[in-house]
Amino acid sequence: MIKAKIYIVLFSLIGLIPLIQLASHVLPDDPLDEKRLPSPEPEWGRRRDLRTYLLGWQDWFNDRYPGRNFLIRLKTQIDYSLFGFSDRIYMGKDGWLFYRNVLDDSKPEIDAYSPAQIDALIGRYRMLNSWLKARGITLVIMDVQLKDEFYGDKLPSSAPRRPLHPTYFEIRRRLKEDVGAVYVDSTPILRRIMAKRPVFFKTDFHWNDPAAFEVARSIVDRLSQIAGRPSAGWKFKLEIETRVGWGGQAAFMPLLRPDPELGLFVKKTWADEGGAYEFAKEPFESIYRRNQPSEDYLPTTVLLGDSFSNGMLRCGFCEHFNSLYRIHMNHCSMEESLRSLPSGTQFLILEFIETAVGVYRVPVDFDDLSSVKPNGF
Amino acid sequence: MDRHGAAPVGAWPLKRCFLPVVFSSPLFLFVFLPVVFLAYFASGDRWRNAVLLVASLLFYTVSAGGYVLLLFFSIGANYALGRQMERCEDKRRRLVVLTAVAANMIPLFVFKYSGFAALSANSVLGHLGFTNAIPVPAWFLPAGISFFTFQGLAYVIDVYRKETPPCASLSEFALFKSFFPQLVAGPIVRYHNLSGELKSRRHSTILVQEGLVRFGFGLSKKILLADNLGRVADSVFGSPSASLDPSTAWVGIVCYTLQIFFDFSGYSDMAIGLGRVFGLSLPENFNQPYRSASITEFWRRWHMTLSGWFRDYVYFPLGGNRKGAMRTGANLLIVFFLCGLWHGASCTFVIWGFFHGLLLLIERTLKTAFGIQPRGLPGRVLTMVLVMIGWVFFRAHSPGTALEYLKHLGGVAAAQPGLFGPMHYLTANNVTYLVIGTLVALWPERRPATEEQSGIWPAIRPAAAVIVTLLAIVGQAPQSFNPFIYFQF
Repeated sequence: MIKAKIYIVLFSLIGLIPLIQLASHVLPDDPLDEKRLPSPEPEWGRRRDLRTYLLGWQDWFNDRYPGRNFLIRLKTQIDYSLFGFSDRIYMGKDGWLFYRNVLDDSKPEIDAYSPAQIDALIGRYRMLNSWLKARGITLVIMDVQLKDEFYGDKLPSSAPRRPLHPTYFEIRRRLKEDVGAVYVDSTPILRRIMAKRPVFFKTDFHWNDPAAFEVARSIVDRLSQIAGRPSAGWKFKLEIETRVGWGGQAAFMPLLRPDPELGLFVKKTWADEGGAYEFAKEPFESIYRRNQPSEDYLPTTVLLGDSFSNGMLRCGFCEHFNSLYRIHMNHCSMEESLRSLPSGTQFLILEFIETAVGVYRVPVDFDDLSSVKPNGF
Repeated sequence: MDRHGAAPVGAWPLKRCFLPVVFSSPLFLFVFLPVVFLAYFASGDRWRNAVLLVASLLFYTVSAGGYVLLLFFSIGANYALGRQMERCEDKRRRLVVLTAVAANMIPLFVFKYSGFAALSANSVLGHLGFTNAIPVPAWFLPAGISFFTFQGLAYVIDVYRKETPPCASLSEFALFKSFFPQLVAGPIVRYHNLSGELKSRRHSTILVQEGLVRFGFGLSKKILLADNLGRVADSVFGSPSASLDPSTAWVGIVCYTLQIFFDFSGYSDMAIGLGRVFGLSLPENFNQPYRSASITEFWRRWHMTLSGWFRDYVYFPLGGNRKGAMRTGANLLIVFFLCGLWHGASCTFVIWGFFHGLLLLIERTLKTAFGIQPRGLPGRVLTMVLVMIGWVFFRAHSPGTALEYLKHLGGVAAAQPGLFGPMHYLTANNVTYLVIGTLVALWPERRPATEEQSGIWPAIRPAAAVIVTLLAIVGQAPQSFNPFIYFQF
């Protein structure tokens, strides 16, 4: 009987974990990086129905109960340590991480494109190029391949087996040959340097900064040729430094004891002189303007990019332009981006990554845009 | 079907259904259950039913919102008509019981089957040139409606047959109908199972301990085995048919076979365990069905309260096996047609039901005409394979996709090399769950009656329950870890 009582008390303690944690903070409680706001407290006045309202409280509680962060980390740690498994991340060899949904969902979705869908996609690029050309703007497509293309040998055996000649390669070929834009292929640049050093972070989705530096250099040099400004070429020297940390993919796999990565970064060898940044001036995420524009810098350019562009911006990319306007493609539609092109724009750099192909599938009504002159044109 | 394992897989196959508050959710485990537990044991005997009733109605309100009124209606109608029967002479009793059956069946038909019936009728009328002649209603399926309807039907029929006296207390009857541990996923309880304990019941620390142990094992079956294996099954069944090779198809169906068992029997264990904690003895629902050596035996071990219900309220009234071989066969097919339909308003469930009815018919014929009866290991293997074939229909979205899947299982469908081979699914964790799941499903189980006799298992069972409950609590935590996916890029 006493044994049973002790047992009941012990068992009940399991159900009281949040209460015990609230009172004692005995469990480690490092916050999780979920990139979202926790579910809000449901408002009685805004409820759709009683059930939604009550389930709102369930969501509210599930996002906040004391001990939640520890339990989530413990579960992830058990899966990681015991099975080498995460339900969001493929754990590759030598600590290389890959997003599951990218390999399981996004890539197969693109590989399932029919020839007609590819034609339609390329057609939109052609229209975009023509529209820009008619306004004196050169379209520059920066093609970025993802980590698994460079480090396929690091993928675990459970990762999907991509066809030898995926449809995506055909899309890239058509982008290069059929659109008529300036095409910057980052792949050979990265392949050239990956013999010497890694070009991607192990625990992050993105290329590392020294790799981004080389692509940025390539773009700047190419644009200086096109613009006929030989003195506007790349100006900075690459110096690499290492830092210990975790990338975004590691955040999707929150462990009690994360394995840190010695990541490669670019040491800033240049000074922020001669120009200034403005941030969050809708629709631009950032604007860089030189105080005194000159022929030694590239003309006004818009960078319509995703997060791979961030690495380039950290490497002094902006400082090679008289003005560079950054638009984040996920925060601003293509149509709105085109309507917002600033006066004097000569280049539009478009970052093209496989997982964002869907973004370019959104139709742009070029007829509606035919009378549009970018600001100040 | 909820992809996050929120509901027992057999119970709510329709897409447009309300998924109930689940026993494995943090709110249930960390708030609802401790509060009810404390309130219950802090109350005196006379308030304990009230505590459970309030908790049950709250539980159902969160699960079904305004549809709780349907539960109120079911409680009120069955209680009143049951009482009415007591006061009537035989002739009127018949009228009252028919009214009670209608009062139970009409909401079930409206909410669960009207859409399916309209679609089926339109399909027939379409062939006659009438397109979309009947508007298809789009009701949501209130959680647990099949369970509490069948409980209500069993009650009024038992009262009509004078097998049980009508319940005198509305609050006791309301608790019988709405007792939260079994309200949305069974077991299907008969009134006479609980009538005595609803009035007065004994509590003991040993019973509470036994209930917690049972609950813990049920929770871990659901979270550690069913949910993990279910993810594999969902992924395989969700992949394009053309790229499914036979080995992957087998991985998928084996995982689903284990998922559906652990999901459903896990819920039953949790319900029975909680019942025991609160002093109410709920009936057993599963008895190692995958150890069956025949389909007949399988149905004696699988979802026993449902098969018992159909036996007592459909098969026997139809004449059972007392009216010749032809009639017996027809009765079996009728019962299993209805059994399939009970699981969901869809062709796939009807086919699944017929498939099992047909297998039972074949077994019966082989036994009576030729004296052949499946037994031993060959019988078990054959039964297992047949049950898995049935599950393909149960799981598939349409008969066509089920047949396609079966072709892949048999290796007779042309499969292009797919992205995901069996190695994609047979990761270390999934293999571990598969092995443990297979062992738990097939290892001969000792029933509690024999546990005290000998062996190490009875001694370590409570400790094992604590460990697996802790693992299950840890295992459920990432359900709410949903990093905003865009930010991965």
